[in-house]
Amino acid sequence: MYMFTRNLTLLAGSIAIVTNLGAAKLTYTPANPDKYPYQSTAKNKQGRIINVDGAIIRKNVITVKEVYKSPFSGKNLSLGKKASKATLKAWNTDVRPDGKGLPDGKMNVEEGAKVFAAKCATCHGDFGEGVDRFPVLAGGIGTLKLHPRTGGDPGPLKTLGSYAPYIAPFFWYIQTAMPLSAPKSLNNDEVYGILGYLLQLNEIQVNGKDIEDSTVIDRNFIKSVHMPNEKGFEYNNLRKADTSNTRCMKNCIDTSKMVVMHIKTDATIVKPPFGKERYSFGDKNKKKAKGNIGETIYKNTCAGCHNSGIAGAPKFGDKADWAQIRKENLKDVFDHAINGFKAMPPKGGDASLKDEDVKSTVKYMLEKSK
Amino acid sequence: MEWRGPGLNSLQVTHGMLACSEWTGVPLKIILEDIGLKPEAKWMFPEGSDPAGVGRSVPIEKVLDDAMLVYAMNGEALRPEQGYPVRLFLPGWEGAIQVKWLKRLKFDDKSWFVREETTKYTMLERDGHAKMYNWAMEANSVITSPCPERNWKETKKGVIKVEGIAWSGKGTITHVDVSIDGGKTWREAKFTSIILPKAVTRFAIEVNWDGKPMLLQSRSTDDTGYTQPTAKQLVAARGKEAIYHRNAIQTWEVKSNGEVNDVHVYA
Ligand code: HEC
Ligand code: HEC
Repeated sequence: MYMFTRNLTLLAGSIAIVTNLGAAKLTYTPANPDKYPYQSTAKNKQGRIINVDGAIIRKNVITVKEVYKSPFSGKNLSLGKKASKATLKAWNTDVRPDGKGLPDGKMNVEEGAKVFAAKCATCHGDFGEGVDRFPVLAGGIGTLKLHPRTGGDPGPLKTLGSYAPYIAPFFWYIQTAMPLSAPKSLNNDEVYGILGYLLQLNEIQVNGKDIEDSTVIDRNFIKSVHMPNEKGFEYNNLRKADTSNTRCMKNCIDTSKMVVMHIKTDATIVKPPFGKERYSFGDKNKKKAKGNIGETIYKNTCAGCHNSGIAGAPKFGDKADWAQIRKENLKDVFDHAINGFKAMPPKGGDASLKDEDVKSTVKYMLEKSK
Repeated sequence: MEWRGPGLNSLQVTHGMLACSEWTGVPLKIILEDIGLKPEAKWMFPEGSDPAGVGRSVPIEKVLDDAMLVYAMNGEALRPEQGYPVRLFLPGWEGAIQVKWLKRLKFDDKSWFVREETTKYTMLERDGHAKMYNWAMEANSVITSPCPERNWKETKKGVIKVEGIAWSGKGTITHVDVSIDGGKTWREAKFTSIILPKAVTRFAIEVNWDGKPMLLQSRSTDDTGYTQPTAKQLVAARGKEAIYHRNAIQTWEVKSNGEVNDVHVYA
């Protein structure tokens, strides 16, 4: 199995931390899916009834029984139709942390890696390292304490491996939501294989053993996985505020110690949204773009592909990529952008753009990729 | 937003993710009364029919208190991007749990720990552990006039009306106080709209501006007895990596030329 060298050091360095974590006494009660401690209602300090989230239940204003009293109560309307077995099977796909809901199926990690390479790597990277700003799925274990304040640059890296407490719910997530471009297209076997590969990338051990290329991933395997951050979460007690400010009215702070933090860059002034058309049923691009039209169109229509260089698109700002294009006749380049060329859709997929404006956009892209 | 420090000079960016609308629909309680609910049903899993099939865990106590299935917003049918034809509405709770394009509701005895409540929408604390199930929006407020987008450059010095909004996902706003000196002294503002639980409440106060720079702040209190924290108090409690649910007192710096800037004040 090919392993990626770039992150190996990082992962190796973090293993020691993981073991320490296991040993250290926790200052909080880890969130346990078997037990949610804030269930049912309670009373607050003023004697008012509060809900799970600390919100006041408005007995006097909106009483469930009085105001919301169902006119049909006890009549059993049986409205709608009963879900058929087939519907239930197709829809009832959620998976709990304990693995309840995991379907039949299996695939080994090597096969899973192939599916990942074919269907996920364009965005998440061959080794889960994340292309551009797409989510990183591997590494970061041991970085959750590295906050800027503690001097821990570059800060916490929250990935599937370092942050997720349970893997089973990701069966449902991946099958439902991924790949982003074609969700719900993976079969059960493929999802098992991919999960195995993602666990292997994160160097997760199961029952004390490394995950091999030949390891077969199925329901029972997923149920026996423990993620490094399984105990890293705590249920927020929303009934108890974590700050206790008071309505102080005079001499509340020592102004001599006051620190005022300003915005670091000044290029961030956002133009007022007031008085602007907020909802456009028609053509979004009819709004006259101010300033550099090329830049505006690039950001709205082209950046999705050209920022990352997805599917072989010449990457914005990449000298080498654009040096090739510079060698072509500019007319041809315009033609390719306007009429499409291999994986490049005509006008980037927005037929409403004027030819002249697409040309300005190409010029802008060439200009910024010198 | 802006846990690490002021980011963009804009009210839209600092507080623009808030929305308060009039929703029309049916309390889930009524539907559940009709179809019946087993006693072991402690959690509800609403799932959307969008490509990402967003699903979340909702405790039954919330479901039976004020959860609704809604089909209209501000008097018109839900727009496609607002979840047509039916979406879940959980008053006072974070937006991401208000599942749109609702496909199904499932009930079970334990919660799901899905991605949107573990690797996302959780608040990482300094020691590396994170708080999950952060549903309710705590008391918050912001001054909307002036603000960076609506400054005082063209405004005459003298008595000027300062306006803003306050809200709490846990109850009703009982007081809003305003400071012009960065939080040293405060005066209570007046409410200028109806005051409803878990809804946006307007406030206003007159300020005598002599052209000297000011640090304008608003601070809300709700009927749970909770007062909106200072930036310092919130960071002390949660660190700077929480990403979500930042409800610290907002400061607008008003310069002598009337320019208004987003700043953070620590004192
Ligand atoms: C076209 C780009 C793209 C492709 C292809 C893609 N993903 Fe994703 N993936 C994303 C984006 C964007 C998100 C974040 C989605 C969000 O925030 O709602 C994401 C999120 C995820 C997450 C959640 C990560 C976390 O920390 O919570 C996982 C797991 C994941 N993808 C797995 C996969 C797998 C497995 C495949 C292949 C079957 C795949 N993705 C294909 C873009 C992609
Ligand atoms: C869906 C992805 C996608 C979008 C959106 C997109 N492009 Fe492209 N673009 C590509 C790909 C892929 C190529 C490389 C085609 C090849 O050479 O195989 C490409 C190539 C190009 C080229 C080089 C053509 C040549 O002669 O080699 C230009 C110029 C270009 N795109 C401009 C644009 C402009 C302008 C926009 C926005 C209006 C845009 N693209 C939007 C994917 C995209």
